[in-house]
Amino acid sequence: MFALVDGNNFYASVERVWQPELRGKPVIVLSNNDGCAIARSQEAKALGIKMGQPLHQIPPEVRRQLHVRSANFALYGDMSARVVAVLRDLFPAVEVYSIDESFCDLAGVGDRLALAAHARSRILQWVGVPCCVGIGVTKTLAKAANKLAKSTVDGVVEIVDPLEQLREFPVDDVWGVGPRFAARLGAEGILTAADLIRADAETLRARYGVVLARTQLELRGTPCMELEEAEADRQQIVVSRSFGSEVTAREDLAQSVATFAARACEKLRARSLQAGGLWVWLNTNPFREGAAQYHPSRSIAFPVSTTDTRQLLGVARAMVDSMWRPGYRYKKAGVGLLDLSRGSVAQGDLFAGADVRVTPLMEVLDQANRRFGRGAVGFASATSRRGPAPAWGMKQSSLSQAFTTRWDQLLRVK
Amino acid sequence: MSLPSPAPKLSAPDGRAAAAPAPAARPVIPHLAACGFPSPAEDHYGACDELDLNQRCIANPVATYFVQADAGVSMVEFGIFPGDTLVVDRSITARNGDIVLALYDGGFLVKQWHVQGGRLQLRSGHPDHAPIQIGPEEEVEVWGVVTWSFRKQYRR
Repeated sequence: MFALVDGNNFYASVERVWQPELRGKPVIVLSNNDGCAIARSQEAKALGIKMGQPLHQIPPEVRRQLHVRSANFALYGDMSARVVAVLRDLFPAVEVYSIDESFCDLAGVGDRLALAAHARSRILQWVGVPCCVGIGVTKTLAKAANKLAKSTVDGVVEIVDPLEQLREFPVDDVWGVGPRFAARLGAEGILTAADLIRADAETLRARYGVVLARTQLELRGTPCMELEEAEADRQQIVVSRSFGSEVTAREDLAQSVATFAARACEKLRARSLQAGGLWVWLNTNPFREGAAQYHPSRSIAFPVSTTDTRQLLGVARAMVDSMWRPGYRYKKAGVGLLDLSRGSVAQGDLFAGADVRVTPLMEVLDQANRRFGRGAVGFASATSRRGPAPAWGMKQSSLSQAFTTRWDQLLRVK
Repeated sequence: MSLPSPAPKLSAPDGRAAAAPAPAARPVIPHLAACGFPSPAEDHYGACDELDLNQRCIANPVATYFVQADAGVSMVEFGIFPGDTLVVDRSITARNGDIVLALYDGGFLVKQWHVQGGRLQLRSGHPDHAPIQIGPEEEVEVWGVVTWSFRKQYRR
């Protein structure tokens, strides 16, 4: 049994915690270099702002009503770590799934709904961000339940009867059903999640393959998704793994994180996307009784979106260096690529001079890895101790302060 | 918390200052984030033979934030001076007499939470500043409770 806890319009909600004047107003958060809307408050959604919509495509009369903020990943990363810390304190096990979503294990929990409501109110009080909780016997059902919870007052939904509760749930909102599948399914009359549950399993597997067959099983209540292989939403690429054995040395840890980062970059380029931010986190083993626990998490925005593995590895290395502490036994790490955009949409930085040589080199690298196996060709970044990338100037015209990570940017109060 | 260090060492559960790496030479991530929150239930400052300001000033790191007082002289009787750093804990429910960071009339205010005979006042710490009476129709929200304040004395 799983609970999926996710922050409502997370980036926009975090901005509101620190800027109460934004409450009740249409707020959007823009991607790196102020390109596209990557978070929208409810009021902004009501104005018709679409996810990923470029600012310049929003009609001026709508734009005038909007409160626009540049993505402040330092702030979002810190507030996200606080949410996860609250969850770790309340649930037997927590798997961070993306910067604003975590799966919580409900094994052995008696009153699930009461615990979910408690978690929700504690996050609201301690962190200030409203959350929703979806509960189900599989992660796919928990994810669907979370979506249903978004339109309820108390923000908690448990799916006990998938056929009934997902009767009107659009099939393309089901986790793992992409728009491509949804179009084909729709042509066959499979329009809702309930339709998908009822579809003949053999036919489905034959026509759509094993991935959709597993999604159907999950919707029917048979868990078959390993959490770590789950793909985060289209806004983020997350690669996280538990280590075979616990890691204590900084170099070993950095090497693992570099491997995850390289894998994430491959996924990024396979989907023709570029990343505007990087998020790295480390975990000790919460199941080791008596061991000192440490769950650092840090995120950073790039001045120019990038697909460059070398650049990302350099920054990931610097982040590991800044988080690593001696005396802890690390069990797991993760790398998230944030603020994804299509290659053509993102604007280059006039002064940074995008390196045109990078793209062919990266293609060669990916091809070699496909051909010779993953990891055949890579960068020696984990051992080369590259310095961090230069502190470029970034176009962030409406950036809020780093309220929780910079002494010189604290909130000033009268 | 400790002023000479740029690192709010919320993340060192054993409270050892020596465990923090040198914060120099990291232009990309110049400031160590307040991150990696230890579980609030853990006695994470327990077996420690050093004194750590975090241990003294932060009961619940997950819910603790820092803000800067910009209030002029209105809170000086409570020992809060302009430029002071305030430690704010969102997990505490305000009680009569607590110093709170309140949201009132669309902005943040540091005041004393005062309830008497069912009436709520936000009190200042200066004779020139009359208490703000909160009418029955008005809304005040406690953003957090101020638990500590501090200021640099050396060559400020």
